[in-house]
Amino acid sequence: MIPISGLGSLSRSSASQPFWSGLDSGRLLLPWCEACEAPFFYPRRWCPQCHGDAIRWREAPGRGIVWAHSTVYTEFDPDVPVPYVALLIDLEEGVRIGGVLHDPSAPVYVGDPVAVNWSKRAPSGLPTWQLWRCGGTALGHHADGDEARRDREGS
Amino acid sequence: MLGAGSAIVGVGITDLGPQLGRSAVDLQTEAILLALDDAGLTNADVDAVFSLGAYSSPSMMFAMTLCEYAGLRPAVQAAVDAGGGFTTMMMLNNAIWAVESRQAEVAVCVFGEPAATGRRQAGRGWTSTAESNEFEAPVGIAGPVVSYALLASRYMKEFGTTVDDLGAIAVAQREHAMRHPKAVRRETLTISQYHKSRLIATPLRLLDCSSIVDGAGAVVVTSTDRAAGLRPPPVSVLSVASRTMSKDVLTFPGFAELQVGRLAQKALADAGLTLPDVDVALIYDAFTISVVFYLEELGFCGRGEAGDYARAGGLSLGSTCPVNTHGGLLSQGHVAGMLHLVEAVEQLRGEADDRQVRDCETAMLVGGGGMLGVNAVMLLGRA
Repeated sequence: MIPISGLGSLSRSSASQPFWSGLDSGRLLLPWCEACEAPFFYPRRWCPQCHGDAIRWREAPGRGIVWAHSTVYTEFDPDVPVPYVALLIDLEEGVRIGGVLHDPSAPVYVGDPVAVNWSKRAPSGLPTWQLWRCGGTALGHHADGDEARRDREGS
Repeated sequence: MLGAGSAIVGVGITDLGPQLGRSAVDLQTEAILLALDDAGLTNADVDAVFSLGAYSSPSMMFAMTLCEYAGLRPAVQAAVDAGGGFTTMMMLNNAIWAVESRQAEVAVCVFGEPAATGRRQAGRGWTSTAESNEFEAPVGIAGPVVSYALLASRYMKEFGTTVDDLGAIAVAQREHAMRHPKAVRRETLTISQYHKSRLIATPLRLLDCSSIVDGAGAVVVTSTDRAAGLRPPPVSVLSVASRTMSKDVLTFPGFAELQVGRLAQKALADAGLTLPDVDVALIYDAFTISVVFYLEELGFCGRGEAGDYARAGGLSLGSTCPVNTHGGLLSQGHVAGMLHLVEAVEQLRGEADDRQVRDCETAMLVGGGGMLGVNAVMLLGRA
């Protein structure tokens, strides 16, 4: 059990150790259930769907869509400066992960495409996320966020 | 049927607001004594106790500590920690099961804590050892408020809810709190004052959040036979439907997937009622967005219409089904769902004074918990 700096009194479990070790080498690893051939998150020793224990860790490119966001103005932890933008991101693999936006002043909307940014990390080792729009910070990925953007602007 | 052989015969609420130096057992004991007194019973009568210790200062073996402090020697006792307003209903379920299975004749359900002074002393608002928090806290998803802010941002995108709509809920419930002698927020609230309140985590402002208080509430349940000899008009649980889906926002399955509307339909059908039969609704309101979600999900109004519904007086006294007539967690004070239950009982007894809903025969209790992932709908009526 490795203590995490940051909010609350938290500890890491052995079931999630590959996730945290992956971050140390700059890789976003997700647990996949071999039986379901599907990823799940957060990491557990058993697949929450089928209870299979054959879990394989696969690297994810770190692309997703913003499911929800909040700009936090209240300081909950003296070690975490405000404001920051908390995100829930639907990864293209089909699982949801939490994250922080790289630039807290960037306007963000539900449905925005985001990509992992390894250059700026949280104290926990987690990478931050940045928006990637046409004409913005292009990361060389296909713009499959167009649909989400049209959805946002059309509503 | 569940609840047919038992009745709620006593309710009690301590003062709400800062009460420096009082512990959770101290506050809960006062609430128990008030509820027993209301029922015309004493500690010697109690043979089941369902309680929950303080979130602000977790302690081991709270349930038995409370019994010892309060001078209770029950046959059955347990802590019930199922989540927010859901906990109250699971406590009440246990009380009914204990009484109707004849393991106990008089059961007490109680919750309360020094949440205001206790949390200030502890220095931090919220900690959790839940597994998914390993992946929330490091990205600043800090306890309920950021979680609900995320849910609110999503709900607003899906259904077109605005911050004005959230404010309309806060304003409507404040009007009710102004009529409750123990509510902590009884000053007038206008929508412009709402907009001036401090941003906590977008889209939520301070006045979208519960009022954190020191205080406790309790109810007493007994058999219908025993209830017949007691002063208070007995109130019975008519039906309940509940479901646990998720704890944290990271694992939230989606608003539709919670199927709270189906829970309500099941509870209504089991009680032989329809939504228009409900005279008062006590809806768990950890944050304004919760009330918006439940009103729309349960069919009190259409999707995206809760703000209009509140502005048109749908929540207010005099409407077909007033909502949170005690002011709720937002303005009366956060004692989980216990005070929603107490309010339901007072309304059904006709003892709600300035807040009384006319001819109140059926109350609906809607209890969420966690980050909206556990839900229960309960119907109560005069026994």
